[in-house]
Amino acid sequence: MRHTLPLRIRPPGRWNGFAWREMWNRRELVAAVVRHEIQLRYRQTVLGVVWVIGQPLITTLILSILLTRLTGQSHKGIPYPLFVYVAMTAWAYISHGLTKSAGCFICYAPLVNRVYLPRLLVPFAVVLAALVDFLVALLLLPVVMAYYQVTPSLTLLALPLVIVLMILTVFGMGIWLAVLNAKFRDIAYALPFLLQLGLFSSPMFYGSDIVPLPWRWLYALNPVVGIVEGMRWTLLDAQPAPVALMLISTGAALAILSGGLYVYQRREPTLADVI
Amino acid sequence: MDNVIAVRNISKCFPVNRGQAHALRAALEKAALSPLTRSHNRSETAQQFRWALDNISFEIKRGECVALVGHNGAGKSVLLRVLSRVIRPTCGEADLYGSVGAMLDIGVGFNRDLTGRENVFLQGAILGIRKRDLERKFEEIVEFSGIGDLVEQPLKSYSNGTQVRLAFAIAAQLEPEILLMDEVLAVADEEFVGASVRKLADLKREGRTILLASHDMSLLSQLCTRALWFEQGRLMGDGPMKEIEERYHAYLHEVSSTPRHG
Repeated sequence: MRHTLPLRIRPPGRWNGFAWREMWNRRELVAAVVRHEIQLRYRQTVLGVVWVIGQPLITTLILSILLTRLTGQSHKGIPYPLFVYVAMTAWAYISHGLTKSAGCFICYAPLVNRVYLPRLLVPFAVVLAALVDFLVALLLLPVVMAYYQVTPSLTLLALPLVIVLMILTVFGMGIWLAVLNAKFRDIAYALPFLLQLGLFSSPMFYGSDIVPLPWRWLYALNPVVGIVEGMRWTLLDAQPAPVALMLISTGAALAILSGGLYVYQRREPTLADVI
Repeated sequence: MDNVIAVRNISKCFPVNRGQAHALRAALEKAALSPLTRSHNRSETAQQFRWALDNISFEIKRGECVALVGHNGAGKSVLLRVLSRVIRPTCGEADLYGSVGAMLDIGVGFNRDLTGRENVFLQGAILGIRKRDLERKFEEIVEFSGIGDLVEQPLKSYSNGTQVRLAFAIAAQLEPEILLMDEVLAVADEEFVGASVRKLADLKREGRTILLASHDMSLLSQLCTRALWFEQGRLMGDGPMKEIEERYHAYLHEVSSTPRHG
């Protein structure tokens, strides 16, 4: 008699439990997919890094000129180019990460329908890989800050928290998009439009103080608000510290993530049937 | 009895694909119409499914090498996908005792723009081989695949057969207790098929259990002592390789000599 329990294969039930241990055991897969994404991105495109920095940079230039013309040189002491560039690097990550995760199960179809692995690792790896672009785009920031003689303060130490919030947000929303897009391919087509709405409803070229104080908590339910204000606070020492906004945004991001994990858990057993 | 695989009444049904573009519209229509036309819709939905596996049961003992034979679309691949947990059965259950390694397709996750070396590590990670083990066995993989210096070239410069060689060489490092293999050696040349058969025979001698789907009867007869024969999702026969092969050939002859209508 053998004592090991068999691996039992059965039809999808209502709740299948979460395979945390299995995901941890397969963590090397995440590293491999991240490496693969980066290798391809910087090898296939001649101007790899230029694209990564160029996208937020050009948007920043245009918006800065516009805003400076319309409203003056700075926003509460922060020059507009910095004010916008910081937000645009975050937005470039968010929009890129969401686009990549929406398509990840289709892009990595063989990983879904030709081999067994914890599939949640695929959107997770894609979201992490997109982070490299964000970090590269951030490299330009010290140069611009030096030009405008803006020095960071101790608030810089909180930057990792903001980045974690950003990853949680993109991963949470990304799971929703990835799972839904596997069945309804319309999602990928609707996404550019949704991202455009997101861009305008987030404090990219204005501060979130434009929203009246009684309503600001509602505004912060959009996690991008907490991320962008957090970036400005930690990198540029924008005052006052957006603690309340960030807490509300974190709560919203966690709610989105929980919902995404639930949807994934319900859909995962039939994922290979529709890819 | 030392069963390694026990399959009990497994069935799998797929919705008949009406094109992904219609998925959202169909879901919306269904949601909108369901309260009104519930009884009418029933009969319609009944036709929209196809049973890819129909009430399959069998047991496999440790160290057996079992052939899966049957026409394209008979259910061999679906069975292997169910046993490797890629898809879940619609009903029934199966127990597997021991680690499972599956090779359902050549080079799952191979990327044409990455070099052979990069693909080895990517594919290894996908199959669940530890990076440490891959580094240790890298030379062995390259040697077995026989690709030589090509390993530093992007995969797009490889022929199909060469890709199969590399893919099989990586998968051979899996050393699972249960190996599930779909028709993957079909495009490899005779020499490599020979090397692969020897490798599989080694695995079998070590007491590993192998399920092998193929249309190549001579390959199957070299390795397998037992065969499962599928047609249209049903298990038509389960017995010694030789007997099943004869029955399958008789069936093929009968099907091809029967005049088709329409």
